[in-house]
Amino acid sequence: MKKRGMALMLVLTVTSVVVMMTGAFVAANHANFASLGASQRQREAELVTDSATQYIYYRLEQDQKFGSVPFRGNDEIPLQDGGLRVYQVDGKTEITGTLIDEGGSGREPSFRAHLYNNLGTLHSENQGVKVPPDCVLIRITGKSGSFTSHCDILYRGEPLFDASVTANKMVQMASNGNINIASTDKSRNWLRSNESIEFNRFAYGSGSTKIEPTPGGLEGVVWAKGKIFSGKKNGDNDPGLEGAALGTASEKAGGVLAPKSRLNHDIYKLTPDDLNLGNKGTQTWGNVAPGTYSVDRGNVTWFEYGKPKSATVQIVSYTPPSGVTQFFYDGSQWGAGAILPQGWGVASAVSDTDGVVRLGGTTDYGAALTYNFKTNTFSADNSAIQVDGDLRITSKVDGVVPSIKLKSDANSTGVIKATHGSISIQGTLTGGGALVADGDIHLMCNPQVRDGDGAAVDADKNSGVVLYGKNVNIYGANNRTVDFKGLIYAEEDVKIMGGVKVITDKGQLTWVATDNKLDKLSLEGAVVARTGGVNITETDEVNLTYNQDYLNALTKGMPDNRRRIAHLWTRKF
Amino acid sequence: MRRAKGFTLLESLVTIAVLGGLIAVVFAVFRVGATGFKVGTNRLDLQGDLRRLMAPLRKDLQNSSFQSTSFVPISVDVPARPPNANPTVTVQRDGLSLNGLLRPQEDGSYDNDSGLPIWDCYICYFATLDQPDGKLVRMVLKDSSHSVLSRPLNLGPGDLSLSNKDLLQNNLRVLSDQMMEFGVTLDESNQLVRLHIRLRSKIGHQVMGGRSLVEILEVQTTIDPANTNPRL
Repeated sequence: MKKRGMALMLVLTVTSVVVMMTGAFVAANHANFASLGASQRQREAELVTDSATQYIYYRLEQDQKFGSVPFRGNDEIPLQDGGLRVYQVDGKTEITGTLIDEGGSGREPSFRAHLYNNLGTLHSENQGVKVPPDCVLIRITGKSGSFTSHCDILYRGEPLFDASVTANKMVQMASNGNINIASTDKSRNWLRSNESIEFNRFAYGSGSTKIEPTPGGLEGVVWAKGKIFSGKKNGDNDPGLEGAALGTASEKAGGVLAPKSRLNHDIYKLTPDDLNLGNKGTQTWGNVAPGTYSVDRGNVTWFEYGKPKSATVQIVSYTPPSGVTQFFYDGSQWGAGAILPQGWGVASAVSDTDGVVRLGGTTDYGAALTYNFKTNTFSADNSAIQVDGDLRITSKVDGVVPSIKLKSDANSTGVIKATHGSISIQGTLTGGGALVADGDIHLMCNPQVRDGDGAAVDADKNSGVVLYGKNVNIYGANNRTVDFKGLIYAEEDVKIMGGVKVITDKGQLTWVATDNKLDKLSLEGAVVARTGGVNITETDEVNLTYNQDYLNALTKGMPDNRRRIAHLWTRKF
Repeated sequence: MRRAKGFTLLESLVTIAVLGGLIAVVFAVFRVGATGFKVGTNRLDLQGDLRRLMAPLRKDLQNSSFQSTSFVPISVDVPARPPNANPTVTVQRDGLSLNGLLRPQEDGSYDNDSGLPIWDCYICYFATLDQPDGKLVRMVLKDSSHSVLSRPLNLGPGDLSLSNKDLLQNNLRVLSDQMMEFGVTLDESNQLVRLHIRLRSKIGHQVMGGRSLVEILEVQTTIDPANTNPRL
């Protein structure tokens, strides 16, 4: 019996030791597993929140109206692929979602997101929640097990172009006196290049470059994916502004100079269809023949009481790409029967008695290019004009420069559109509307006008002007100022040059360099060189002001409610 | 011959020897188990500390702006194998400050025009210089500028104190007292904050059987201050 007792004791002792060890092992591992499980669930909750954020961002870029009104039905929102399953919530601007990579165990990480969408509206409140205009607030709760992750995000709708100058290649402004970069936008005063940017030598005390803060008090920013130079780039090894010099230059400019930026700025490819032009209800289009329309002077003779008399009169000539030049003269001053222009032949024509001659287009002065002898004005008045080829409007008379008027109102927009060709205008462009060309746009401003009304390119604030072409060139010529308000969009390059004289001869344009700098260049709106660069040279004062009002008035925005949105802030709690 | 009852001396000795051996083995196993348990507990403790300190640190950084970050680099020599004072190893006990919002859920904390946060405080993290391991402290300091522009605090070593005069409403928390190292690096090019954290177990400072059970948990992490504006 005693032996059995000993054996029993021994077995019990060993068993209890084994049980204790097993218990300790299980307890230790349980705590370990619990700790690991907690970490995993916590991370999953954060990750599912991030997934929801990415998903909603994607949806809003595809359709800015997503979640702006309550959903109908608890339907699943189909996704092309991925491990996320998303449902809309009936009667609410809310979606829910689960990650489905755990085989439908019911313990999948899930999220619930509430959208307060004011994108595309001017409202500052949504469902009782304060949301700034043209913004969307998203409140997301991610959940995994008993862990939750909360995140609020505010996104803002972005304009098509968000900077006073946007270029894919180099922005060259080294040979200008003073440069001022400003904005009317409370949130943005930006300038962007996907390559490098050359400013003048402001960092070394020659000239100045100022980057104004926005009206909302935010710093202006100049981004370059390449380098930023103060002065001309000196070979490929020129490092540009960097280190302490960059800091000093930024401070001197009053904004942020950001060379070697990691941001990839994708420049939207604008098409003529995206422009808010020529599509008003009652608007008609007229066709004008391609060629060169010139202000000129001609010596005419006539017989008065049997005696020959002569005078030099102002005329307008039209030279087609090939063929005979046609002349127009002022019928209000010189009666059709009394004038005999020498050598004008049968191609000459006379204006009506009001001094307005129709150069092409439809009848009754609707959708036609006209020239008014009294005001020396070519006009696309209340009309949209198409030219199949090149259109040139020039002056062959020294000191006589016509103005070109684009007039827009509630019913129509003044547009000159050249398909398969370029538009070249030597004169003053006024009014609101657009010059749209498949080829280039050349604009040479009026040498007669210093500033104010009639100075070069001008536009009223309601409509502005669009210059849209493969390349857009503005030449200062002998003019003292260039004042442009609107959108300059070039598929390739934009050049704005002082110190250039344009010579017109028989419809041919040639450019000659001079020592005459442009006094002042003021561009308000946006300048875009989608695949090329921007070159602004030989100007004493350059003012670049970003103004989104023009973009809103002149463009329709992206098609199908697509929208660029930008992150404003995140709060995680 | 009648067999005698009981055990012979030899039997008893063998039994005692076997039992003694068994007990020695069991104790050895126990000892290993106990050591392992301690190590496991230390690790759990360190992981718990890491979770506790990373949660607010990550959120504060993510809710802040890179432009507002500033740090004070501080090097300190600490015992490599406590409780022995020697040898020593040099570690970083840096201070980090960044902009924050006192009331992030309130509309008044955001600008009406731009929608951007109006930064109204600085959140400061630093590791105390205690030996062998310091404390990681989170404290909220006043920012009188109240602006949408995020500006770095002019942080100096003197600011890294529990009695900082700019401390707001006693808003001070000790997140861990096992901080061996708290290193901060600012990645200016990518506008990211890199952290190098080493936690060392306190329990490990005890020596078992002549062997130090020091456990070190080392983490290097990169955090993106999501409210950086502008992105460069």
